[in-house]
Amino acid sequence: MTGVIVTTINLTAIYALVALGISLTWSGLGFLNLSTGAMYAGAAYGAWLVATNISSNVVVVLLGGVIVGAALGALICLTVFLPLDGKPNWELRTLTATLALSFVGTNIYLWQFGPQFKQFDPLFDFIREFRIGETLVQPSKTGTVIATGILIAIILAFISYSRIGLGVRALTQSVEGAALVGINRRTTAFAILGVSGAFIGLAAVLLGQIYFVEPNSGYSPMIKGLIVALLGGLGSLRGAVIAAFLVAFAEAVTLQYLGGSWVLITLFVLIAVVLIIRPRGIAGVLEGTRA
Amino acid sequence: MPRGREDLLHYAGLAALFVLALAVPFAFGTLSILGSMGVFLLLLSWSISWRRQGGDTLAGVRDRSAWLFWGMAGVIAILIPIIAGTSYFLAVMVTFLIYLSWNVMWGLVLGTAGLQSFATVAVAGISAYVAGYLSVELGKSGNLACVGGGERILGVPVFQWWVAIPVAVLVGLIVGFIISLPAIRLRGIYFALLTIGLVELARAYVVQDKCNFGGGQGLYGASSFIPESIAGDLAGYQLAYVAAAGLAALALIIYWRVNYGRLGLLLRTARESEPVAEVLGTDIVRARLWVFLISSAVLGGAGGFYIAYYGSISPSFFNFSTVLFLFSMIMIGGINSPRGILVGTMLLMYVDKRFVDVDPPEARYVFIGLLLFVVTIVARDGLISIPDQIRRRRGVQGRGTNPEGDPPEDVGAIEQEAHMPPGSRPEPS
Repeated sequence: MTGVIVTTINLTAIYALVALGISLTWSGLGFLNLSTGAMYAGAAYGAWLVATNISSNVVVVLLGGVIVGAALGALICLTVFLPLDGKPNWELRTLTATLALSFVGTNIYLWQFGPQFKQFDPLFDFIREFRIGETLVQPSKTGTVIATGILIAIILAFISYSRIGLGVRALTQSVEGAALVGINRRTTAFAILGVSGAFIGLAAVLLGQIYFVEPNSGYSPMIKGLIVALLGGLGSLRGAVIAAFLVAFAEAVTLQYLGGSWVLITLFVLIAVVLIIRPRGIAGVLEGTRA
Repeated sequence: MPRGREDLLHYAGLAALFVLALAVPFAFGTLSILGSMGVFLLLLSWSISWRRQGGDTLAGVRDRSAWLFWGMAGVIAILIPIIAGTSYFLAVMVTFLIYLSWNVMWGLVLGTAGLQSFATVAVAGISAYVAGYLSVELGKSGNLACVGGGERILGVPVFQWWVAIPVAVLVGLIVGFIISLPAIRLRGIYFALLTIGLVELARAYVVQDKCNFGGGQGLYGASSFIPESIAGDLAGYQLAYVAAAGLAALALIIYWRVNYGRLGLLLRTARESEPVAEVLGTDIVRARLWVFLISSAVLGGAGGFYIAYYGSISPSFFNFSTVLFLFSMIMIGGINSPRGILVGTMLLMYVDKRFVDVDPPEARYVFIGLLLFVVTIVARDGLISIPDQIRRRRGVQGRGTNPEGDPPEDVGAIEQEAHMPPGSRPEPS
C-alpha cells in the first residue's frame, strides 16, 4: 500500500504539470492545445540533446526541457493563436490546427531521431534513496516531487507578482474586463503559452527519466493531462491538482492490482462517471460564465 | 456580355478541364486519376459557388446548381473502372469509397450537428470487430483461439457476410446509443475527449482480448462477399468496386436526406444558436440523439462492409493516426458540405497512395499535416468554402462592417423555420 502512495504522489506531480499547462491555455485563451503531446516529446528531445551534448548536470537538463517547452509554447502562439484569434469557427479551427501541428511535430521527430528509444542518464543520482516501511523510494521520485514543487512555486510567484502575471490572471477571469483595463491579449498570450509550455517541458523531462523518450511518447501523457484537466474542470487550477491526485491514485491502484494494460480503461471509466454526474468537472466554472 | 455566351464559355472551359483531367492518368500513371479528378471536382465546385448569385453558403439551404457537380462525380465513378481498371487501382478505390462513407457520416455529426465527436473510428471499428468475431467464431473459419460452434445448416456456415453486415448495423446502432447517452449532455471539448478516449479504449480492449479478438495481430478469415472463385481476380475487384460505390452512394443519399431535411435544419439552427433553437421549440437533445443514431447505424454498416471486404481487421485500425487521417480528409475538404468531404477524401487518398514509398516515409505525414494546418489557418471551412469566403469578405468590407464578415451561417434556415406555422413543430424524421 505504501508503494501505491509513493507512485501516486510521483504521478500526481507529473500529471498536475501537464494538466496545468492545458488548463491555463484553456482558461486564458479559450482553446484546447492538442499539440501538447508533440510539445512534450519536443521538450524531452530538447533536454536529451542538452544532456548528451552540453552537460548532464541536473539543473541544466531540467532547464533545457523547460526552455524548449516554453519556446514550443511560443511557437504555438505564433502559428495558431495569433492567426486565428477572433476568426469565425474558432473552436474547431484551433482544435484542428493544433492537431495538425502535433501530427507534423511527431513525424519530424520520427524523421530526425528515429523510432528508437532515447534514455536519460539518471538525473537525481545525488539524492539518497530511502525506505518508507517496506517500500523503496527511488531518487527519481524524490527528485520529481522536489523539481515540480520548485517550478510551480516559481510560476506562482511570476503569476502573482509580475505585471505580465497580473495580465494572465485578468485574462483568465474575464476577456472583456482585461481588455477594458488595457491588457494586451496578444502579448499576454505569449506568456500564457510560454508558461504552459514550461510546465509541459518539465513534466517531459521528469517522466522521460522513468520511461523512455520516443516520438509518440507525448500521446499518453497528453491524454492523461486532458483527463485530469477535464476532471478538475477546465480553467480551474485547484481542480486540476485535486484531479491529478485522483487520476494518479486510480492509475497506481490499477497498476498494482490489475496491470498496465488496464490503466487507460480505468481512467476512462472514472472520467465518464464523473462527467455524467458532474459535467463541468470537480471545480470547473459553468459553461457560459467564461466569455 | 450576354449571359448565354458567358455560360457557353464557362461550360466549354469546364469541359476542357475535364478532358485535361482525363488525360493526366495516361501521362502520369493510373493512380493520378484520383488526384486529377479531385482537383477537377474542386475547381468545378469553386466555379459553381463563384457564379451563384445572391450568395448563400454551401451549408444550409439546398443548392440547386449542385446537380452539375454530382452528375460529374457520377460520370467519373463510371469512367474510372473503364480508364483505370487495374486490380491495384480498384482496390485503392474500394478503400477510398469506404473512407468516403465514413467521412460523410462524420460530416453529419461534426459539421451539421456541430458535435465534436471523434467516435467515428470507434463505432465503425467496433462494429467491424463484432461482425468479424461472429463471422470467424460461428463460421469457424479463422484464427481465433476460443472457437465455439461453427454451426452449419445443410453444410453452409450460418454466419456469412450477409448476416455480418446487418449485425454490424445493429452493433453500430447500439454503440452509438451507448455513447450518446452521456455524450449528448456534454459540451464541445468534453465530448471530443470522451470520444477520443473511446477509440483508445476500444484499441486497449481488443489488444488484451487475445481469446475473442485475436489480440495484437487482430482477427482474420471472416466471410467475404467476393465469391472464392473470383477472389483476387480483376472480376473480384470489379465486384468490390461496384458494391463499395453502392455503399458510398447510400451514405451520400442518407447524408442528403438528413442534412437538407428537417433534422438538418434543426441541427444547424441549434449549432448556430441554442437559445434560438430553444425559443423555436426544438428538442435539441432529441435531434442530436437522432443524428447520432443515424450516423452510427451507417458507420456500423460500413464497418461491416470493411470486414466483409478485407476479411480481417487489426487493432491498428483504432490507432490515433487513423482518426487523424480521416479527420484531415474532411477538414481539408470542408466539413460542412458533402462536396468538400468528397474532394478532401479524394485528394488525401491520392497524396497518401502516391507518396507511399517516398523516402523518408515521415515526409508524407509531415506534408499532410502541413496541408491540414495551412488550410485550417487560411480557410474558415475547408478548401471548398474559399469562394464563399472571398465573396463574403469583399461584399462585407464594401459596407465597412466586421472585416471577417461573419453573419450567422444560416440566417435563411432560421428565418425559414421562424415562418413555420405554430402547430407544425417539426419532428426529427
